[in-house]
Amino acid sequence: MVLRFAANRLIGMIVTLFAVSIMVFIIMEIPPGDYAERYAFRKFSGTGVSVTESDIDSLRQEFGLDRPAWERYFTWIGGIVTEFDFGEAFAYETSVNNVIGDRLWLTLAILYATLILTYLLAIPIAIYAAVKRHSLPDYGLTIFSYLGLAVPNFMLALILLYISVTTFGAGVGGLFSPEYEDAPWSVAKALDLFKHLIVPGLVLAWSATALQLQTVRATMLDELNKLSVTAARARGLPEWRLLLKYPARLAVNPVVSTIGFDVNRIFSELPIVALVLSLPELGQLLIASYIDLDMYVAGAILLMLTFFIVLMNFVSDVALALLDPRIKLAGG
Amino acid sequence: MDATTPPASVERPPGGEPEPAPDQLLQVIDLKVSFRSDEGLVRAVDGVTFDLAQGLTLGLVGESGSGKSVTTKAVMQLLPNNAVVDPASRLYFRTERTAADIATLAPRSREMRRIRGGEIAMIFQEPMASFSPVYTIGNQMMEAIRLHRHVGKAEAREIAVDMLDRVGIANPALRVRQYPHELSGGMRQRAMIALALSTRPALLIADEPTTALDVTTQAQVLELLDELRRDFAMAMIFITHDMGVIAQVAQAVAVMYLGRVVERGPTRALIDTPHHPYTEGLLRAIPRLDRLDERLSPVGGDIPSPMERPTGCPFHPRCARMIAGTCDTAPPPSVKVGPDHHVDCFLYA
Repeated sequence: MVLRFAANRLIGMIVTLFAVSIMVFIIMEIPPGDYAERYAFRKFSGTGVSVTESDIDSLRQEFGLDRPAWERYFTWIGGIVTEFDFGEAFAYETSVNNVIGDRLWLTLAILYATLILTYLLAIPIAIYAAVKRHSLPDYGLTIFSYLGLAVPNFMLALILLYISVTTFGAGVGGLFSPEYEDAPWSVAKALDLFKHLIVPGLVLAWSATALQLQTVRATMLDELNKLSVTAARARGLPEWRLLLKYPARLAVNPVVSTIGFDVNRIFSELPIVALVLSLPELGQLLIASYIDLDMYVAGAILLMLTFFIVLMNFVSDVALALLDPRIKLAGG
Repeated sequence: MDATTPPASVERPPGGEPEPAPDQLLQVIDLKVSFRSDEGLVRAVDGVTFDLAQGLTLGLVGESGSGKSVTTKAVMQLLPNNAVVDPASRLYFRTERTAADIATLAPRSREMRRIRGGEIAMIFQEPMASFSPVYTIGNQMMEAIRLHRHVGKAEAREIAVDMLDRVGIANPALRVRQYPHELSGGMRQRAMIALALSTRPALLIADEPTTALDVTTQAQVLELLDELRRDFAMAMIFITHDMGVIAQVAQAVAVMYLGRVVERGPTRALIDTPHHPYTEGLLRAIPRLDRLDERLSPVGGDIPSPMERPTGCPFHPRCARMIAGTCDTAPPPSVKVGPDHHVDCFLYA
């Protein structure tokens, strides 16, 4: 039953991704001008050389931008599907795969570190706060989470950066210490990466945690008043076992169903934090490629982002189906 | 005492500590429960006293807000955190395995958890809401069975299937693997009964178990409950606002009004010769086939808010036979009007 449901969702996911790829391509076509114009401007501005329309046309031909949009779309998507080739990064004079390369994995590392940190903090704390409603810890956590929502991320990043440099004498910028920057992957390098992920993870996780904390707490309070919880208590179940088995399990549902949203929100907040902490990630690259009209780089990043959002939505759909038996009937 | 006669009541000896009567399963003596609220302490149960013998059914009747559910929740120690039970309240509970004053046990103590579910089980008004939607019927039944009967998983499943079969659910081996939403309303209530009885409790508290069911299913469930009570030699407290249901299942009745038991006695005697004006009113409000041309007369007025408890007899503002200067000044005395039949009213003093 769950397998059939998952297979259905998987097909839906592939269809969604193709629709998204068309939309991404259209979005890339919308800005006026193209990279040929931008290139000509960069190369010849200030040199006194006058650039004619035919010069730009020959540049277009060189970049393959002269062909109709639909043809370029199929070449692009064909390359991605068959060879995992995301095309050419004009501004970097290399392939998109080379430009994105490591940045993809590092972005994913930050994203997942943040997600895991968010859920590890938000879920147990919210459940505890709901059970101890109107107590000092509950009020404290509410204040803490509103702070997380109110303080801007770049400010938090600066504060943490300041504290870690002045108090601990450790640099938190970048993702690796200098000695590991170009070293091959090893356990020590992974540990070094993990250490560098803590500050950006904390910064990004605070606001996400604050939001999920309130969601889980509210759902948990709702679930605690359910008759089924009283009925379970009337069976003589020990209190904490009861709380975890019945209300807590359902309080996790809204978190599971919004994993995709969280991925998107964290990715959107990433560039500004990355700027402060000088992290090499995809958000800044995306903004730079918009400015340069470097369309295949922008396209690849957008496509990867939507891929991970759609993938996480798929994961949350399947997880919800496993968590809540009522869903399978509706999902077919 | 003959097991077929309704339970005798124990009057509180004047000035002394109430003595537990060893032949009673449950003795509720002067139970007082208040709730802390923004407006201060609100008294919901104001000195409730009744007893229940082994194997019999007591009907607890009253309007919403009369304190029926709070009384039984106090017996189960299932009251919310803002509830305060008066320390003078006594809840003696005696079976082969237990002899305790429940009022003195901590709600989360091991002993209380053993009694709750193991010795006293409870079923609720809404069968859908009493099951968790994310676990199978079998999972929730086996949880109760394994908690109280110390058997393995396979044996617990067997007990669950047998119990489902016993309450008249067809194909129990399949049902045990199904989720609550896959069962019909009547079937869910039967499953809830099966769950409650699978631990072989000495007392079943049924909190309006048939209110949410249609009339035919209601009759079947009532019949089933009465049959199971006899077969399992179990006592029952049946909460309802419906006097007609009481006549079908209960051997004794306690009529509650605004946190007090105003009249209690054997069902037959109480229905044939009601003494309290409130009991009379409740009985007049039942439609009867032999008096179709008469209008039904509801009890006039509304139940007052517990925050504005009337002085004297709580019923006097709605009472047609109120004695001015008496009923509104002092609490009414408890008067014995027949064998095991008591009424709190000045009319019989």
